[in-house]
Order: sequence, then structure tokens, then C-alpha cells
Amino acid sequence: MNRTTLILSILVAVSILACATVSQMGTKVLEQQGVITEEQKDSIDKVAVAVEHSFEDLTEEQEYYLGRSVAARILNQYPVYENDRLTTYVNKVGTAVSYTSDRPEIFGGYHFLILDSEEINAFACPGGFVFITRGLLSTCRDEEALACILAHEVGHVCAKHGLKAIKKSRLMNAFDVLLTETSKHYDQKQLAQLTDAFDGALGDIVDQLVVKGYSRQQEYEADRLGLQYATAAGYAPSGLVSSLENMAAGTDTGMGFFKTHPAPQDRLDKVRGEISSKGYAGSAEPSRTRRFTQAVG
Amino acid sequence: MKKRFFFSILLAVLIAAGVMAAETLKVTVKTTKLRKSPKFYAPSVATLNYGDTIQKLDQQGDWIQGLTTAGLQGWVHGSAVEEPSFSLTARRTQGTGTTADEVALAGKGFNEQVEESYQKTSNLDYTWVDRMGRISISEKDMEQFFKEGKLGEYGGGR
Repeated sequence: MNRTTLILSILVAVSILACATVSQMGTKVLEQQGVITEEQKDSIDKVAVAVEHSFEDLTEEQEYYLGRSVAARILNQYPVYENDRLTTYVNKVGTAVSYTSDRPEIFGGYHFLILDSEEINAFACPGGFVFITRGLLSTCRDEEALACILAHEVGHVCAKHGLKAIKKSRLMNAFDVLLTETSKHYDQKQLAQLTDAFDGALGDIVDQLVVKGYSRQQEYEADRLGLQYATAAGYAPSGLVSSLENMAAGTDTGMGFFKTHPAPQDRLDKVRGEISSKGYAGSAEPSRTRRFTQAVG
Repeated sequence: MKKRFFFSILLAVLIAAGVMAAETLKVTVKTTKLRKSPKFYAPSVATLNYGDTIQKLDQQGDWIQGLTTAGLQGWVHGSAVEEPSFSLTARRTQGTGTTADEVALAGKGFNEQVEESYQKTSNLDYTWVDRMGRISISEKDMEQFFKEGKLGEYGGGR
């Protein structure tokens, strides 16, 4: 490791441990002393800002590529429920609530798929890849409930909860590649470093989605956003209430949803409070319930 | 006098540059539609791809009325476009026409090349991810879905 690389390493480490401002003060001094060039200073400052914001500021394109691979990892663990008619219906409901979300247009669009599992669960990968299990689908009694569940998942995507799971140290592993400004196409060594960082970032997200679950605050935020999006599309907020009531009444298997989400009763209390304070209203529309019954069977 | 003249010109250039930058928008999603009216299921006028630019003409809520370089006019949702970062000192990367800032952003990592490399090392199957990404509901079907279910403008939504 030469002297400049060592200095760059230290500065990136400083930006991880401290903040971008501290790092930028350091780069300014080093540039003034001629230790690093103006270009290197700019690069380090950009990485420092990226590190400070963690991975939330990834471009839409990068979020999409991360999401594709997170989806591939989930599909490696769960089989797909192959039912074109039901999949199309779920995609229509999901697309409807995405229209009224904070990010209706994302890089590759929203796509919804049903997993062939009795486990009660749903996963929202970065980039708009959303999964719902047959088990969770069976807890929905009408389209309102399905819309509220999918809107909750869209809420996770909009709030970038998946990206927030990535450890800051992932950037450290690929920092000198990240400092390269000359090419978008990487050589073998750079590619290996980035692939390692990519693998690590995916591991962080999958661990959060499948094993640990999001934080309670993130789940409550997704409930709040889900209610906002579903009711803005015209769905009744009671969909989320009925769905959570069904879950609360069910047996806590300690698996899937029960393992990764706060207790349904805790969420119900907050959801009822949100509905009341925001004045969300509306009732299940018979034509929607009819088509739900036809599609879900 | 010379000094005042110089500053007037500089001010005019900065204002003009600011106005131009504010009215040019860049597409940030893989693909989207320029639509006849400000609704997601409105018929499309043109397809816009990542990196395309439009000139902003008007705005209604979250929808932006724009003009393509081919002279087509229509509406695009604000979440699909952004104002390109504009800097008088931005260094242009030779041949690509992109700014160093944009390349640095892309250099933050994860692109198609990295995914391909990861696919090889992980041996993960992407068949269903590709199929999932191709699921698409037409504007006509979505409008019918809204009408039939009394959603959005056809019911209690916004």
C-alpha cells in the first residue's frame, strides 16, 4: 500500500467513524499541502458523503440491481405459486396502490409475485420486487385487505428500508474502486472487490428481510404509508385492520411474519390511532370483493 | 464601467443557465411513458428511456408536461424525472458527455456488470426474477380495473 492509498484509507475510515464534514476538513488540508490532488479530494468528499448517508442515496439503477439479486435469493428459498390469473390480479392491486405512493415510478417498476408457502409472510425487496405468500393471501378476506398489505410492502420500498439495512463497512471494502472516476466498466480486480461488496450488501438486506425483520419503527412507518397509499387509491382502511385482526386471532407459529414483525395487536393499536387521527374512511366496495373472490377462489 | 458591464454579462449568463437547467429534466427510470393526460393509465404519446431529456412546459400536482427532443408533447410523473445536476465547473468526461459527478455516482458500484459477476459466483437462478420483471399490466387494463372497482377518479380515491 503506497502512502497516498494509505492516506485515502484513513480518510474513508474517518468518514465512516466520524462524519463527512470532518473528512472534508482533512481532505482540504491535504490538498493545500499538495499530498493529494484536487480530483482525489473531490472523490474522497463524495465517498464520505455517500458513507454518511449510507446506501440510501444509491441511484435508482443501483437499487434496482441490488433488488434483483435480493429477489433471486428469496426465490432460492421459496417456490413460486404459478397461477397466471391470480398473479395478474395481485399485480393489478399492487400497481393501483403504487400509483398513489411516494415513488410511483421507480427504475424497473413494481412487480408482485406469489410464493407457494403456507407461511404467513411478505417481502419487499429494493427496486420494487414484492412477494406475498399463499399463507398471507389466505388471511385476506377481501380486496381491501390485500391492497393494504401490498401498500404496506410498497411503503417499505418507498422508505428504502431494505437499503438502510446495508452496513456502512461494505463501502470500505470497495472504497478505492469507488474512488475511480474514469470508467463505468471495471477491470477484473475492481470487479472482484465490488462483487464482494455487492454480496455483503445482499446478505445484509436478506438477513433483515428474512431472518431479523425490519425494526418496529420501520414496520409502523410502513403501516402508516400503506394506509396513506391504499386510502388515496380509494380502498377502505378497514382492510389493514381486518387483516391484522385475522393474524392476531391466528396461532403464533414463531415463523415467517410472526418472527419478523411486531405483534399484530401492537400494530392494530397504532393503525386504529392513525385511521382516527387522519380521518381515513370508506367501506369495502362489492364489485372489488366480487373480483377478489373470483381471483383468489 | 468595464467592471459593471462584465458583472452584468456574468449575471445574465448565470440566470440563463439557471433557467435552462431548471426546465430540462432527465429520465431516471429504465423506461416510462409520455402520456396524453396526467394519469398513469392515459394513452402514451411516446416511450422515454433512461437518460432521455425533456423540456418542462407545465406542472399539475405531481405531473409534469414536457416536450421531447423529437417535438412530442405529453405528461410524465415527477418521480420518473429529475433536474440534472448543473454546475459551471462540472468536469465533462471525455467522449461520454456525462459529468464527473454522474460517473462518480455510477462508480458507487452496483450495475449490470457487477450483477453478472455475482450471478457467476453465486450460481443463483435469475429465471423467475427475469419473468417477474416482465410482468406488465397495460394502461387499458388498469383503467378498466379502476373503473370496475370504483377506485381513484371513478370512486373514493384521488
